[in-house]
Amino acid sequence: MLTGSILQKLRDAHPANSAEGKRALNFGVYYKNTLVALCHALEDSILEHDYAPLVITAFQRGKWYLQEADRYAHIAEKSPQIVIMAADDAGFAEHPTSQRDNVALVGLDEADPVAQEWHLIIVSPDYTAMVLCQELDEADYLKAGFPNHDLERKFYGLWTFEPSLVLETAELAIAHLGRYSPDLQQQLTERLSAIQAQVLQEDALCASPTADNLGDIVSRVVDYLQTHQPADPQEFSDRFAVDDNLISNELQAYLRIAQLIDLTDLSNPMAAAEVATLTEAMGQLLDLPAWQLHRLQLASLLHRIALIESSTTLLSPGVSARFDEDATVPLSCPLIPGTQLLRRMSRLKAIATILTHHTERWDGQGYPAGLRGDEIPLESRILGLAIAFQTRVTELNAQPSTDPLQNLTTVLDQCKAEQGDRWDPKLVETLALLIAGVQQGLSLSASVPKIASGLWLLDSHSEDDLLGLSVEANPVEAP
Amino acid sequence: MNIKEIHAGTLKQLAGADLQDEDLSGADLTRANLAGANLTGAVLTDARLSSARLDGANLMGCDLSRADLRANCLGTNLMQSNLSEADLRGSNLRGANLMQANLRRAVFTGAFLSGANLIGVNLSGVDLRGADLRGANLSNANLQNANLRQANLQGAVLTEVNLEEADLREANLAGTNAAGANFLCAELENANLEGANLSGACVRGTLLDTNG
Repeated sequence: MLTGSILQKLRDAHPANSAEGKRALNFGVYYKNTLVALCHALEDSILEHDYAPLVITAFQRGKWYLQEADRYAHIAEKSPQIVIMAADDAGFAEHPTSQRDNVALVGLDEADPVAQEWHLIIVSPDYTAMVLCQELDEADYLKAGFPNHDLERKFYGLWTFEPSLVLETAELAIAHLGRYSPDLQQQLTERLSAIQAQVLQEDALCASPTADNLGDIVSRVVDYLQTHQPADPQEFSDRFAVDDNLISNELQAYLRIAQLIDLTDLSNPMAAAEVATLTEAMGQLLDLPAWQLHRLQLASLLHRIALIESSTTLLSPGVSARFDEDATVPLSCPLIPGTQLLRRMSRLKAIATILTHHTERWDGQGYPAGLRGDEIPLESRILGLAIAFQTRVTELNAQPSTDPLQNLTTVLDQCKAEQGDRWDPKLVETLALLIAGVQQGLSLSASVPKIASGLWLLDSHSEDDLLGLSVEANPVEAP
Repeated sequence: MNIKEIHAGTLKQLAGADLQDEDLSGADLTRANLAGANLTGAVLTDARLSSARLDGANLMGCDLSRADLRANCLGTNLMQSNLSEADLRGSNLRGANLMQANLRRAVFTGAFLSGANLIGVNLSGVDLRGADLRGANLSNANLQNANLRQANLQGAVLTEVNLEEADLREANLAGTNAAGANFLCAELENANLEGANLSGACVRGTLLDTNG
């Protein structure tokens, strides 16, 4: 990692095993092809809305900025201030976009490590996002060698919607600009502190994901990655790796939303990881096949997306993703906004179905479809029980002077009382077996997944049609 | 050889049997004894082979996609076989030969692969959590995006292996030879790297990435 680069400064502010409670950063690999798609998607969300964000970018060289300069003319219409950092190239300053009052060009020194980086930092009270990465050195390509195709150049770093990380990075970027233009630094610092104050307000949308705000942005990311298959993949030396990188980032878009929902729910920040651990352990006790365990785990990690609502129906902001124990009223429209979001990625079809039906009840009185008994997909039944169990245990544990082991028994007894009505009795039995194991010392350690590499959870079964609702005709063989 | 009986799961004593090129797709071979059997080129897609004995059997070029292979495969020859989406959780694959096998989305959670021949195989995006890979030869293998959490790779050959974005948290890499390996953005939190040879390896974006 280049000393003095923005990526390095952010990494050093987040050391592993930090005492301050800052999480260590989790880096991923990005082909330039993926980066361009990601950046276009995140930028286009500026064009589609009225967020009026501060936008700070680093393009390595002026020539790469010039490829995007016409786009940036439109973005400049929607943004009070844009900063473009790039090493000077011919025509860099002359482009009409560069001449605009609200576009500041910063010609980087060739020796500045930021000239090896690719950044897009978007900050506004309702929308924060960034892509922050650094290009590999030629030597880092090892025996594969430096790629022939520009879109196969590799970068490493991270992208995120997480407001605190984006604001922190914007501060670092602005500090870096100080060496080129103290005036610009001063002006941006003032603008950023105004935004920071607004982000802390309760009505700031960037920290409370809703289906029509962040959901819309994520849909755009997924769509752009899907349509960014290179025009002529034959030119690539490793097209499968380039494709996998796109798919991995589509999945990341969802995992990042799920992570953000966890982070914003201070009363239950480990929901995804703990539910995933519970469902996997239950699945193992039920001797489910490996593919089904993976599917269950992925659904668990993404389960909170199913609970996000549309902001127009949101009664109390900030609790949108909470598991609603009393939600028994069937919705007038059976489409769940959160799971519709997952359907954007066809490979998650089965996951979306599992999540749609995790609120069904064993007695058929649940929603959205009123499915009964074995009609409810098995993974939905397991997930529904695990979510309720985790939520209730977490709530009990938050009460002073309760014993965590006793809380497990208390909640298990509640679930037992509801079996046959709400829960599948077989599954309550399985849960009881698991809890008995925990009470005898079995350790169930939940840990946050590595977001940059979730591909191991995806296989052909994640695309299955679980309820057999597809219209594909299956030829019936004569007996 | 009565293939119908094998399919139905009534014939299980098949040690040393010659089943070359037979179609056994979906067969119930749970707990069957296939030790030393010749299954080269056989079709075993979706077959159930849990707790079966396949030690010393020859499954070269066999199609085992989606099969339940939670079996004893000690020293089994699986060269050029198709194991895509096969279930190999906890399988005993010690000393097995998996060269040129198709391992796409195969599941090796907790599998015993010590001393196995995995030279040049494609294990990208494969679940190898807690697998025992001690002394296995993985040189030139592709383990991009693989999940190797808590895997034991002690003394394994990892020369020029691709571990880009792999999850190696709490993995044991002590004494491995990982010269020229690609660890770009691999997760190495709490991994044991004692005595590992990382000469010429790329460690960008990992805990080992020093500023420069």
